Amino acid sequence: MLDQKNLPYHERFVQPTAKEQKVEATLEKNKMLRSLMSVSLQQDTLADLHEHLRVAMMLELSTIPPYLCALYSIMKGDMTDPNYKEEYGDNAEAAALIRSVMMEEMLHFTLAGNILNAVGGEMKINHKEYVPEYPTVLPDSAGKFQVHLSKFDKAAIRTFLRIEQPTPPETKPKLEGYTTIGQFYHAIEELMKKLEKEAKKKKKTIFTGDRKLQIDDTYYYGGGGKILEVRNLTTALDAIEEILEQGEGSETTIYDNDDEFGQIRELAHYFKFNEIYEAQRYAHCQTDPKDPPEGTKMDIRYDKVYNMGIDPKTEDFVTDELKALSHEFNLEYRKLLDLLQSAFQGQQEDFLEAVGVMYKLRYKAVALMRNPIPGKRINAGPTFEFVEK
Amino acid sequence: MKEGKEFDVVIVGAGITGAIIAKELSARCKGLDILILEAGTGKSSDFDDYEKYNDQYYNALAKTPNSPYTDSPYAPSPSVLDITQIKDNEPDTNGYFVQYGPFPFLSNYNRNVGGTTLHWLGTTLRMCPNDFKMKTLYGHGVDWPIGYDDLKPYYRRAEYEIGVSAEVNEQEILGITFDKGYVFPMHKIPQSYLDMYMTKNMKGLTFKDDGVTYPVKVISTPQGRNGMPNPKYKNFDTREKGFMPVGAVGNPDLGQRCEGNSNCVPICPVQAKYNALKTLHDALQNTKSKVTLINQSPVSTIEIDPKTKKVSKLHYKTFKTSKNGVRTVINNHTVRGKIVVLAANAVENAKILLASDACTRSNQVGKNLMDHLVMLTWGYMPDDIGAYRGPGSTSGMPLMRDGSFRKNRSAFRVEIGNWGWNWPANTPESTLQDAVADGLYGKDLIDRIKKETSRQFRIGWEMEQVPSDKNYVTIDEKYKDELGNYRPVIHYTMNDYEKRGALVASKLSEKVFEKLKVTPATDWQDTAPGYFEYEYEEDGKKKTFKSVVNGAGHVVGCHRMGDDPNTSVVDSNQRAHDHKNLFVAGCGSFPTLATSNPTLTMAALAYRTADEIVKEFTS
Repeated sequence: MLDQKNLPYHERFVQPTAKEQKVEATLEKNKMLRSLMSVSLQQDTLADLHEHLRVAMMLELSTIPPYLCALYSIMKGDMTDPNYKEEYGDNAEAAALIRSVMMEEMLHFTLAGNILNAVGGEMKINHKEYVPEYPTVLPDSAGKFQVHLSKFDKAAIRTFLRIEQPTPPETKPKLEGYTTIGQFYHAIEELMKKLEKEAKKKKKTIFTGDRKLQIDDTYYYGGGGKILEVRNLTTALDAIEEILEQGEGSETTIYDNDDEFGQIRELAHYFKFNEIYEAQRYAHCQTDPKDPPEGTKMDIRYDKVYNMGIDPKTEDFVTDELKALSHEFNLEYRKLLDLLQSAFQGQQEDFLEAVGVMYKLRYKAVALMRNPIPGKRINAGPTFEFVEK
Repeated sequence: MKEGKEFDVVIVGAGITGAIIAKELSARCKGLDILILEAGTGKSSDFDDYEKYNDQYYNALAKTPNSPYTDSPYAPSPSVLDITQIKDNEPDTNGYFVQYGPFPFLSNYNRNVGGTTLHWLGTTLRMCPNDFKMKTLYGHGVDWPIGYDDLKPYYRRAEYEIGVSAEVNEQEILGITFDKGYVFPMHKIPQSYLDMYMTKNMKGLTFKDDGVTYPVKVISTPQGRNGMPNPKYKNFDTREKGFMPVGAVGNPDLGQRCEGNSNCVPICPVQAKYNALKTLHDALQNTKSKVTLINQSPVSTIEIDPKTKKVSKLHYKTFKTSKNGVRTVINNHTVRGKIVVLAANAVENAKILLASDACTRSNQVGKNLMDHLVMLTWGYMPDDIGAYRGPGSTSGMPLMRDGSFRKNRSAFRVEIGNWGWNWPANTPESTLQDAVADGLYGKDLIDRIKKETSRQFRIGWEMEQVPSDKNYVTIDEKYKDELGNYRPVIHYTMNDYEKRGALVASKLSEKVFEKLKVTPATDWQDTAPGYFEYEYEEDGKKKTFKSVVNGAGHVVGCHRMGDDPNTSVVDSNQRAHDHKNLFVAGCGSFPTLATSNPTLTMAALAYRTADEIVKEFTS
């Protein structure tokens, strides 16, 4: 039994709760986990690399709905308050942090897509088998854990901490599945290097994708950092580096390495969520990941949040109106996936339309969250269910 | 800061002119100590500060141009709500301005870090070549000491700094030319559905004036807001290729593209619209020279050495209000500068010069105050035109900005509004109030709002005012603000030349409305501050034209430039004729107003001035 107090601060949340341990064995069937498991067993061919990258996109996509639910469940400001804040009210600071992490996940999704296109893989964003279902399951070095669609509360933030947890450096990939997201990406790096080396021997390259399909900063902007066009092994490795470092930071600092990519210094995801969890900012001079935040206190109001139930499902919404609203939301979600699919297949201007759809998603999500489900003590919420066409 | 400390350069005013000069000097000169003194509040690079402006805007009951920004009695800003019709010989002292009229000055500006770029619309038109030669060509006003070709390289730099979205092929009109291979940093902001609708339905429409037939054509307007970067863009000066839109200060991921939030005035919530905070931020980051910015420090006077005629000192006051707002501490300070740049609003620059008895030779300080006089006409389109979407205006009908008619009447720029009747009638809020007052609710209410707001349409006709010695700013011991600094005393009138311009605009408006089958709804009271009458003869009959104009916020004139020290205050580099180490920069230096919104030209002039100051420190 490890002594919690002697653990580095940033590893204290690693230990699963008793409840989490109890359900862990039942999580194997989860879609996300099965995908990660199945790719881990095949690391030889270009087709395996393609599949890894599709799963990477699925993985990045899978975190966005939980972040969105937390964000959109935060109520607007109280207009009778003299210090009224329009967006996200008293939780404005926390909301800004969640939003910034979510934007970076969108960037990671796009970076993974650029790599997949660069190595000539088939895009399958709007295919059912690559659309996450909730609760989804992710692995970390302490085990597997569920990620729910949930309102903004302390449990949700704890899950976010687990999602973004730094990987202990000594953890090696296991054959029976990736223990952490970091391992998964490192496996992609190794596979790319190996395949490119083999290709080079035959005076070929695996980076044969159509360059016109690369998303650049004309259409990808404002989303958590600089998009990189992937043209060869070096830029592909840079892209993965950006994904990993924005997320996890490193053993030695709480900041990400974005300044390498010409951006301003920002906290790595884990530490952003830790600020919310502790309701306190890191002081400007702090860098050591082992220290708790020592900066200014942060206003967190878990009561100024719509009471959305965990992992809502349309069929549980009792009334036809709520079910219809939920269906509308999911149609928009499907439309978003369709637009992303076509944007990555060459119709880049579809990104512009996707922006509009994202706004619609927000309005519909909030409309659902404001509505109590008759006969239950919870409100409805966005279900992110895949609608077949 | 040490009392009486000498800086290499002291800049008064943290608006676009001051910011550009500070950024240029700090990037190009080594080891300079540069001070910016700002009268108002606000921080230069704090994102939370800007978010506070957003919240103040949401909270404001009347969403006036200055409503988001903190106003201080110690450095007050004029407000559009203060303006009234002026009674005989009784000045209107409602607000910060003391207005003697006979016609009220209708515009305002913002005294805060960032200046009036915080609430500007973002229109970045270049002046047309003939605008520089009003006297020679049309016999009105004066000529500029420089021409279009002199300003061209500076326009390029200003368009880079502001980040202008436009297409060269659409802007090569009215004699305006561009360098070979030039493209704007970003593609044009997509034109609104209304713009397209008008283009389609006005095809072939022409307007005859002074014997010339002008096509009435809708053309996109260059804008200082982030659009899609033009991959062909190449910075002529740095040779750098491509353009990266600049997002919000302190949160650069935000605002990299215009999101169509539709409240550019009074505040772009995401800072996709340029504001001078962005340039100030860069200036403060530059390490070659040190830039210090202090706010809440209005300059009262500059002191002139009687022997050298150079500016020896600046006097400014600081104010600090206790947390509960009860007590304010006021202190007097002095500071010295090898070079002094007055870069405040035209009216404020004039005020400082007048209070200091500086630049007296030409007797032109404070004179020739000008503004665009905006007449609005509005009505219902026969179809849904998607009103209230996108930036305030994405197109105009610019082909009548210049012509031989300028001998007889003022030229006007035509601005097509995207926000329904928001400016003249405070829609859509008033549309809702009216419908509720009519007893509507539920679906009927929604249907009425949809039906009315979607068809609301308005055009702005912006008349060019010519310089006049009847329009001037002065100071008076009787009128001071709470710090003891002078309040601007304004004498102002609307001339027949401008009224004739308005009359022609109203005729063109009728033609446009008729062609588009617009049901007119233009409605105003003769008690409105901008109400005027004009008597004229037509077909042998005496007629009276009545209408209302508004201010455009284009505060121009008061220290005009020229080659002759007897008739102008500054030279073409904005250096004061009378005081070698003094520059008086900004819209105040314009000899004539032109039909373009002044900010881009002001920014271009700031680059010209910066180059001149750089020479002082490098030669």
